[in-house]
Amino acid sequence: MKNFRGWQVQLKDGTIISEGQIEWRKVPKKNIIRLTLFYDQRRWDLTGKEAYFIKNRASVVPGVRGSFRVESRTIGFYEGAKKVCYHVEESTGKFSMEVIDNS
Amino acid sequence: MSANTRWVAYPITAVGTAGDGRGAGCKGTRGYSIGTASVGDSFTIGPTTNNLHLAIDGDAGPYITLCSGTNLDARFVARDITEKMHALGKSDERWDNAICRWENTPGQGNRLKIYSGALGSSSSVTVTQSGTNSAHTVLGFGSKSEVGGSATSNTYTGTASISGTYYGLFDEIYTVVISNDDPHGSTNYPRGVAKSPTKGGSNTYAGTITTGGVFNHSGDIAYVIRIDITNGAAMGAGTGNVPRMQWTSTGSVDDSSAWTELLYPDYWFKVGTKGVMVKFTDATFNTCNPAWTIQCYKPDYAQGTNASAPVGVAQYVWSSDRGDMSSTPLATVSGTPTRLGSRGLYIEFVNGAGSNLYAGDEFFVICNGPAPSSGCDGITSLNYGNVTVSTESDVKAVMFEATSGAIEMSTVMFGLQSHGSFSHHNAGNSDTYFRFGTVGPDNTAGNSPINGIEWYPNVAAADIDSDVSPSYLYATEDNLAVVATADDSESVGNYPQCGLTGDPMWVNIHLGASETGANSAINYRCYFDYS
Repeated sequence: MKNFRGWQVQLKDGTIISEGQIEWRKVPKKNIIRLTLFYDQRRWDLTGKEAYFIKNRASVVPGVRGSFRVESRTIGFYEGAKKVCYHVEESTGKFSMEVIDNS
Repeated sequence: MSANTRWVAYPITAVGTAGDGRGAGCKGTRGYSIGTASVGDSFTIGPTTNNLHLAIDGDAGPYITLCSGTNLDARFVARDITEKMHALGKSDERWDNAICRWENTPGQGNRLKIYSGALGSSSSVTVTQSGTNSAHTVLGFGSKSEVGGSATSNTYTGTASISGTYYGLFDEIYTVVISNDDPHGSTNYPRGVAKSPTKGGSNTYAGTITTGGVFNHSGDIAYVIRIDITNGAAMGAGTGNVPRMQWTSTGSVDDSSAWTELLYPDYWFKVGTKGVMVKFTDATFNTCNPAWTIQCYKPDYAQGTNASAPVGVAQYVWSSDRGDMSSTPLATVSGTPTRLGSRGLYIEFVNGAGSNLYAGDEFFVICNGPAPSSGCDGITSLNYGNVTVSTESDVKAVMFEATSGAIEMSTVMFGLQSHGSFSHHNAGNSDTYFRFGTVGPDNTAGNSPINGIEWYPNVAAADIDSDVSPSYLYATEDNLAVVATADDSESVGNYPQCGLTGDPMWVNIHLGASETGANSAINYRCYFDYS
């Protein structure tokens, strides 16, 4: 996955799906056994969780199609009402974690 | 994977309206059409599938042309249909107040549902299953269920009239029920709906469930909600991958054995057909039954322990389908309109000729938000026109939204990326200013009890030339700095009920006395989280 940035899932049947192949909404979530965030040569793996999510922060000059850019990428998992987030900034590769409580 | 976004323009003079159902005095019900064919949660619409042929109340309108796109979000498509029906310019409430919703219906799950803007037995919607480039199949209307409106069953012989100004952004219907909200002396059932549903013993959901709506039925009902996570434990994961709910009811009078997918967090889902709604914060569910029991009590009294009372004594409660709800009943006042909702409307019960209002009498108020001025692609630029030094430009109103490629949007931020060739902006003699203001469904404004303002007409430059916002805006910034990050930008609310929309924003510029940046192009940039 040299120089690949984005999420990748591995399903129970061994199928690998990477960002760009299908929309996240169409990934069969119950069959995920691994969710990985790639940032060039780095990777962060999540396994053994009940429910996963991905999120991007993007920006756009409104109305200008070519201005869309990703600002950061996030993968994460749920712990009940808590969402545990792994963020990577797109421009620097800087990593951070965050826990969001939706209780 | 990028999200597709657009920048929607609104005339700053635009203002919403409220209707009584085309002269129906707010009585009766709306006719509707549901597309009952199985659909997911997004629609791909193209040049051969973008025409929707409709008849409302028997009036066959010219077809409407929908926005094209791949995997368009269902909430966006519903709002697009709504706006296109209004844009026909019929000047007739049946069309001008017609609403399309992406909503769950007992026995159907989540479907597109088109309502007439009229109330009563003449109200109907027919989706034509033919026509050039018809969209009916992709929208799920290849099979359909169409139910006409019905006449009122109120005992009160009069009507309701609506006054005031609707300061909502999106279409909305208020249900008003005569009730003093006093089931068995408890205050735990506002609008007849349990404020705190009883959680099942095996239910591990750790988020927050919120109930809403007005319960109106001839008997009390306890709804028992069942949750299933065969397809997924968390919302926001796309159709086929989310938790589902179904429910039973006391005496099986209002059950749904069909599953409703809980597609989105913080989104109102209906429970039954008697007016109850629920929404959930973003947390995981588990398979359990019962997950929650929602006890609902019928309206017993119009006032005190009286089943009926005259105007001026009787009380009423209300809820909108977007969650603008009364917390306590209000008393009617004879000859004087009284408040309805938090967005500037008033209701008066009239023409009753001495007739009493009875507990359970109900009225509907159909609201229509301001119409955008831009088309499907939105706008690509804002033109402030010729601006004279030392003056303010025209104010422009815009809204940012994602139309596809996302299920949820959050943390919308708005910043000035470049002030172009202007040379007197924050230059030590900062006499050129970039103004900004916002209010919307997420970040409402106003003074209690009219504190649900989502949109305000005729916002002027003087309203956003200070960091202290007027009461009808949520926030203002008199001078945006040039920024390069989301963190340094201005926060803008976002709302999941009618699409993936950011709150409206108002912007303009004030040119300094010495400004020389003629024909300058400036750039704004929106930051947003999406998944």
